[in-house]
Amino acid sequence: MKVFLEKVKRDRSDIRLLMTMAAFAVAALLWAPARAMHIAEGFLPMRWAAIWYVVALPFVFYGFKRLNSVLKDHPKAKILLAMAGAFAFILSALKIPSLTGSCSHPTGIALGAILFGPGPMAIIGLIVLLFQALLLAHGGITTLGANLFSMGIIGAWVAYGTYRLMRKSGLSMPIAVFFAAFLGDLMTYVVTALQLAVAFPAAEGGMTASLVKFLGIFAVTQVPIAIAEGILSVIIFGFIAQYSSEQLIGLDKDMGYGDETQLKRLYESNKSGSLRGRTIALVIAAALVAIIPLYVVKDAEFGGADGAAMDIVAEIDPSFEPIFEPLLEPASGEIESMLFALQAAFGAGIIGYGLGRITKGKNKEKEV
Amino acid sequence: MLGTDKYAYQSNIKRVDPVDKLLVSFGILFACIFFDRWQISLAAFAGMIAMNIYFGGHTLPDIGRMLRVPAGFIALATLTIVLGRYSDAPLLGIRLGEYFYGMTRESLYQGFSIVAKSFGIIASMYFFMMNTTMVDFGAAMERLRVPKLFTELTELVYRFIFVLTEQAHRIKTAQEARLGYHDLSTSYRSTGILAGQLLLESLRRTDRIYDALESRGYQGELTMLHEEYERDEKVVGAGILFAGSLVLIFVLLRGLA
Repeated sequence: MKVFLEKVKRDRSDIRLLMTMAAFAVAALLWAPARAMHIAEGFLPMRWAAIWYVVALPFVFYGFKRLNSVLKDHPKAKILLAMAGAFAFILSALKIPSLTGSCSHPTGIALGAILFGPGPMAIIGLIVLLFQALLLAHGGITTLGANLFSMGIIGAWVAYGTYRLMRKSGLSMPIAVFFAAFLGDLMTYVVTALQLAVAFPAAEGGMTASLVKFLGIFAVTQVPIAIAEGILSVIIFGFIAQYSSEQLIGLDKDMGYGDETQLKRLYESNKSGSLRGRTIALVIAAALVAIIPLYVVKDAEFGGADGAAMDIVAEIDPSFEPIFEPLLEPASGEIESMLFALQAAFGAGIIGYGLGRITKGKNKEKEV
Repeated sequence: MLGTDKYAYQSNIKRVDPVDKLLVSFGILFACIFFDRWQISLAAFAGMIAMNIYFGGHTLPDIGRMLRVPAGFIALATLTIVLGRYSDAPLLGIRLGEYFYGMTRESLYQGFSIVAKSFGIIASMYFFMMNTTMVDFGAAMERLRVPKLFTELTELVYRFIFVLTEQAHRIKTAQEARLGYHDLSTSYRSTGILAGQLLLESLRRTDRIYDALESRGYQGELTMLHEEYERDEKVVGAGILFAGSLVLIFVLLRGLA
């Protein structure tokens, strides 16, 4: 009984912490909106800034090496890639209405990774991030390596891998595109949170505690953005598949991919239901994808304090029996608190949506 | 004109050698990130803004407007670092259950020095960004022996951005005239169509530009001519002097500690 009460108490305080942080996040965002999650200039300590540069370098090097060899036979690839970079830059400046009522912007990484493959995305990502840092003051030169790694490399590979895997397993184009964009964005956010957590571990609880904090606080903006980008990517691909096919198949040839084109697969089936129905189904599916593995994967390594306390109680008093068993037991305490974070994120999303609705009228007149 | 370029074209030191400006900015930037002392960061922040105003001729509100851009992220991420859960009573916090939530003296100090360092570095980068156009940045990269393919790609991307932006604006105006952003689901549809159409247009333009280049003897390399730049001893001198004084502050701080 005692154990059970304590458990409830602790969980409540976790929720409160998350809600407080969400409130702070919303307040800070109303003051100065955080755009796509680039780590700001100068934010990382020198050591970590350097490490992420070193980690990202091989991918950039590989991208350029491949591009150089392609250019010998396909000189058009350079123009094409430059155009793709410009397109990605403009796409990232485009505002899309996000579910939280405020405007967010798409990264276009999934789109590019599906069209061009993940290799060239390291180059396109590098150029786009450089322009964003120098022209728009988003991200920065010192944090370019870290941002490139989370967005242009991890984001692109996850998006590309998801797309290929889902298409191979026979799922339709809209679903594959949605999850490619959604998971690509989500992983970018997770990696960024990880980068911040390893650079700034919490005084108590270390890196893990810090990671939970960063994941929780940025979920407010990043989860809605990931969903928004997923929906938008589906619409873009639907539009392209509907109106133009010749050009995209030519695109593969210009990039030196040969006859085995990735894009032909795009047109295999493109059945579209109602937009609203599809949207709702995809949002639900996205939440399920985040939650289901946590139940399926039992024995996740990090057992929480509650589990340990249970064991100790059982040791002291063997006759002790828990009065109440949870209906569904998450795999571990960590995961349990992550589910709370998810819950809090949804709650914060709803609060944000309300706030956004209230304040939306003011800046309705603003342009692109 | 785009972002900081708007200021760069108005700058009084637009014609000064971009490599010089880059070196001044990077020198101060490295002082901030390498020494990592808040006194130095704050000095760099104030000093670089002063140089931006004195040499570049920018106004304080303009610089302030630029500084607001990264402020959102910095505020949010610093708050995340400063606030935490502690088992002892922190400097400022609330007790919930068996733990305290709030900030300690150390975490507050850490947060303060992160913000100071970030803004010091941002101010020194702004000295470069608000006084150098993207075209001159390309020239600087070429002179600094950055691989040619990369320089070429950035120069091409920069030029294509304007072409595509214009197109995007025209599509958006047409969509708005037809109530394309009237509610949430139509705005999603319109944004998707805008992006898709823009992508197709960029592919069409690629074909046209390539044809035009090939008919003029394009062999896979683009050679650009750059303008002549002048060296401004005052800017370089001030940069060196400032970097030197930051080093001096560091030595003094170490002597004190």
